Amino acid sequence: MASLADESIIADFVAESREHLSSVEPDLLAMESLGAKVSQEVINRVFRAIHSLKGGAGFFAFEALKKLSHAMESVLMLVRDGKLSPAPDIMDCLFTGVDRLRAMLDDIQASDNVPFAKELANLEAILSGKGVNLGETVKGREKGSKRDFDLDAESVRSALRRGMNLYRANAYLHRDIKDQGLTPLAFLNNAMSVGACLDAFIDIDAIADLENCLEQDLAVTLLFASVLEPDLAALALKLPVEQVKVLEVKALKEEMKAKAKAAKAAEKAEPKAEPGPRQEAPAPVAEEPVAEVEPEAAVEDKPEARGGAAMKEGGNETLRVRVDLLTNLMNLAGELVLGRNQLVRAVTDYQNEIPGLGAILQNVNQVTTEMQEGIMQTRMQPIGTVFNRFPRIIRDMSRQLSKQIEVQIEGAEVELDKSIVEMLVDPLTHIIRNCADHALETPAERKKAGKNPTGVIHLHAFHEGGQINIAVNDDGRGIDAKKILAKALAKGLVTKAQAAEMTDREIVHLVFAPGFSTAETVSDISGRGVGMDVVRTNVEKLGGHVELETEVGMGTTVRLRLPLTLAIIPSMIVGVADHRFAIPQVNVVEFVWVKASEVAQRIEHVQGALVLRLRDKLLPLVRLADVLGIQRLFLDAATGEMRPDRRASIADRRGDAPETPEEASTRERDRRTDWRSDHNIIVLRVGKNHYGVIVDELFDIEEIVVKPLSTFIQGTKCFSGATILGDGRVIMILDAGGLSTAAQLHFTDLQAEEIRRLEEEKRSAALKASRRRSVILFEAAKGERFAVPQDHVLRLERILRSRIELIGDREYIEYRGEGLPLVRLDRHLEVRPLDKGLEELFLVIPKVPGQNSTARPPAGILISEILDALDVEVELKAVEFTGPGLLGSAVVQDHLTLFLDPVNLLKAAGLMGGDAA
Amino acid sequence: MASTQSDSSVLRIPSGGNLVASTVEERRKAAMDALEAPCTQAVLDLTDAEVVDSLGITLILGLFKTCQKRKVAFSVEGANADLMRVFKLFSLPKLFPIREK
Amino acid sequence: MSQFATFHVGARLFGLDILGVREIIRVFNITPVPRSEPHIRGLINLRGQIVTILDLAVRLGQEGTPVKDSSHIVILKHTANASGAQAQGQGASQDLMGLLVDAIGDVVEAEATLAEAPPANLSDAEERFLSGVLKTEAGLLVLLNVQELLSSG
Repeated sequence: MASLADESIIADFVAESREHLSSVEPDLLAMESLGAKVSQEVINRVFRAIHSLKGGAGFFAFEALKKLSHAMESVLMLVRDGKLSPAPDIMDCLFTGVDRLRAMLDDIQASDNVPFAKELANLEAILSGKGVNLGETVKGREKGSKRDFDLDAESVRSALRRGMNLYRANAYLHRDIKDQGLTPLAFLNNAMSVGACLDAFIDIDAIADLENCLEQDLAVTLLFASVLEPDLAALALKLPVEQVKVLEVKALKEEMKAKAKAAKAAEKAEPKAEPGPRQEAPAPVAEEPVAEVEPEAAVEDKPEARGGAAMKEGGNETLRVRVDLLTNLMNLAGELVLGRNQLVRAVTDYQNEIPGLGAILQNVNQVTTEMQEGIMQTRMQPIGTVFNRFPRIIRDMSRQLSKQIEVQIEGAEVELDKSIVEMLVDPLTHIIRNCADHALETPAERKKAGKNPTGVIHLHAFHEGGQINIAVNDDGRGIDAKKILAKALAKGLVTKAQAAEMTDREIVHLVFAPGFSTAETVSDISGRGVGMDVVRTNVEKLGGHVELETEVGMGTTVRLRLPLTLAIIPSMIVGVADHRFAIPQVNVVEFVWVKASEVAQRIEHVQGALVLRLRDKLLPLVRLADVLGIQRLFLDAATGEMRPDRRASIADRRGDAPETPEEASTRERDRRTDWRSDHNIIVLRVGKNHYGVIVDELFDIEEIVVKPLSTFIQGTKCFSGATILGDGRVIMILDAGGLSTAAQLHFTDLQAEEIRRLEEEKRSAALKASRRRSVILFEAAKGERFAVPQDHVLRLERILRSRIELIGDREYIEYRGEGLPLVRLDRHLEVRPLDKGLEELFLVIPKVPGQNSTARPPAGILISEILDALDVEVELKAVEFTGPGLLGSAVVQDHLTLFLDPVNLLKAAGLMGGDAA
Repeated sequence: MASTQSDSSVLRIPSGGNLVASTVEERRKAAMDALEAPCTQAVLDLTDAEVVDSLGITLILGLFKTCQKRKVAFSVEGANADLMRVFKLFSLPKLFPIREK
Repeated sequence: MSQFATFHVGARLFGLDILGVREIIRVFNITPVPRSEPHIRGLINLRGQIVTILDLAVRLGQEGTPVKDSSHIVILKHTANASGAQAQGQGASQDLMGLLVDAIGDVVEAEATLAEAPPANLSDAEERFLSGVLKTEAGLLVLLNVQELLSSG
């Protein structure tokens, strides 16, 4: 029967009821924790929420929903009236009731099938204990005034369809209109601007005759429809709150029903079978214009506390908007941006000819940008919508686990894209459950450890660097790296060799490894075979990261870093042949440019696969063109045309017999004749693995708006979406994970090879390290040779002797606008002075360890000539005439050469003051 | 409210300008005086009225009530568009006929 | 009487109920999608919305033809999701589809109920996508089964 009713109204009712329930939960928690001290306002809020749910349920004839909410309402009424204290067992009944209501709302048409007998029985037991019989409480109704509204069925229906509330508003002609300085017209115009007046009446009996009329204050009663909530409606109508009352749709309907019932008096046995649907119901009203509508005891459900709620809600007025509407708006905004770009391009040349055009363009530009941002923001939702469900979960868990847990929430107002908020529910729930189940100790354990018996779970969301951080912190037992490692070893997640090289931090992060679960037993609460790996996978799917910080005995913090929105992501635009692709920046680790001359050294083949050597690591490498099956182009030197590159692709070659050295050398030659021998490589991240992608060209990083892919294209796996560039061009967004799968990359194969090479390099490097140095060779006095290690030199400068100034007995030269003290070697070492006749001298400016290259150097060492810069392999010998700043001596290029330690030399010269520290 | 238009029994009450706080008391007295004469029908003529405020409406309603008590048919004439709007929104036409200017 | 938008692919004239056609546009800047199925011609930007273009010829088992001056794209009102079993996600409303055709014909009025079954000499690929044949003044009009055309596979 409800299926005949207007689906969209029911959908609205369900959505609204869900909101009611989500607000009920925190209030119930407050009731429980504060007990009798809880403010009346909180109880009233719960009461009203349940009440309006009941009203809607009654209206749409959802019997189960109605019965249960009615019982809950009755219990709440007792609590409100102080006849019942909110003890935990009573709260349990209310909480489970809320759960049942939610279950009913989940499939509203089947809501009668949700079992609720137990919950109802519990509630009724409470009620009968207080002498309340459910059957009676519904009937307490206020008798309405003598005359009531003429209900125009269609306008009521249309108002309801548009999500409006119906109000009965009393406006006193004197007090509310004249005394407010309004004319009746102004009052009505104002009312019409915030809603619709469906009907009005003045009680004839109340009107005094001409003789006395001016002394009275007549009330006009309006049937007013508005999307505004009651408190706001009153505010908007400029009427006192108590004069604006919600007309319960249920009450309206019951009246209609009653009429219908009277019409066919015979069938009264089955009240459920009454015509429930709204389409039929208003009909009798139309036939009988004066419907006796008795609003449900308004005093009961709209208490004064409403005013308090008005303050709360008034600050955050909202409208319900369909998501597809916003999506469409977002598309249009994107198009507008495009149009703006074209406009700007088209008219830029006329800027000088048309006065003021520049300013207009700038304005259009600004407004467009702001509009786009604004529309983006409409999709944002506060993280609180997720956070706020946790106190309830924790409350249930703490009762089950006999633990005392407090949930603290910070930053609930931080906003994220709706889709991200929705996708965070599961990972966060898992983390929170873990906290309560595993991390926090029992009160006894906590006392023993000298902690407060109540454990704290702290949820904190905040902005940082254009991202959202969510930290879930507990003050529990922390994660013991040793235990984790033992488990990981037992499960074969790591080898002993790997374990030996792992830091504690790395070990702790093993909890994110697939198949890891530290719970000794699978508990009812968190261990359901899904572990933290699911958390990580989910968060990474959103383009985020998870991290863990823990200290044994002190607690654990799980940190999530997430993008603000999935809809707009900064991406690198790359080109292959004439194709363009976007790579989300979160996937990009770095960009490597391999010069043509280095290609042979840095790119090689390991087991038939292309590999890049990058800082002692071997990185699997793919050509984007090959993975995607795009024909590579090269510039034909002979014709100057782009022509297809016929070389076999890597993908083609894979799986073939190992190539002969001959083939390899042919290809090597091939590559050198490639039109673009320099390689642009983008290093991408997939989970913990990295790989390189060779592309032809790199363009800018752009903020792109992600558009979902058609189902037709999702099968390609290489793309995560598409986007429209500023020039209107559609391009695909590459999916780093999909791409590596498509390229059949095997990350593990490389690791063994990498380790082998690393060890080999370590050995040879260790051998050389002791002797090999890069030095700068110079002369001070003629024939006396010095060397200074290159990594001790910041710069070499040529100066004119005439520029040297003497202050006291110190020499200075102006260097970058400041006086730089000069050091002569002969003043500190037993060497000959520089030739007096030299007009041109050189300065060695030493590099001070720990100082960056832009800092002011402490001094310069005067020399006469720079001879060479070279690598030498020498064993330094001690010098007989050791002095400060000498490392030793060695024979270089057949000359005895003194090796300087410039920093010590300057120290000896007293020139390494405070800034050298 | 189909009433016979017999001149002898129709009492026309001119509004004599706006029906607002400053004028209502005077108009009330005038109306009371006018109603002393026997009639079967009373017509309030708002042709001269630009504005009718809350007190004005109260006055009209009082007039209506008195007429009702005395079994005199009451109606309003010559209401301008703004006044019509107010009357309609207050559903006054359900109580007595109101004719627009 | 129903109205049919007609268009040429190869030598044949095809028709779609005009109520199922969102608009018809000239071909411009189709971005190819690497690794997609052959009948996916690519994507276009239709006033800020991305439209997936099917190459009707390829879909019907013929050789794909290069885009000509006369080529057009028939943007459908159906979306791929609406016809498939795909869940109605956020993107559902955006999943616009277009058919690349060689040329556009006139709008033809005909009685849809007079349509005959497709001739028996069709390949399997064709049979799946055709719903019938209508004799019209413009010639033999082959009616397309949009639901099938847009079902994946």
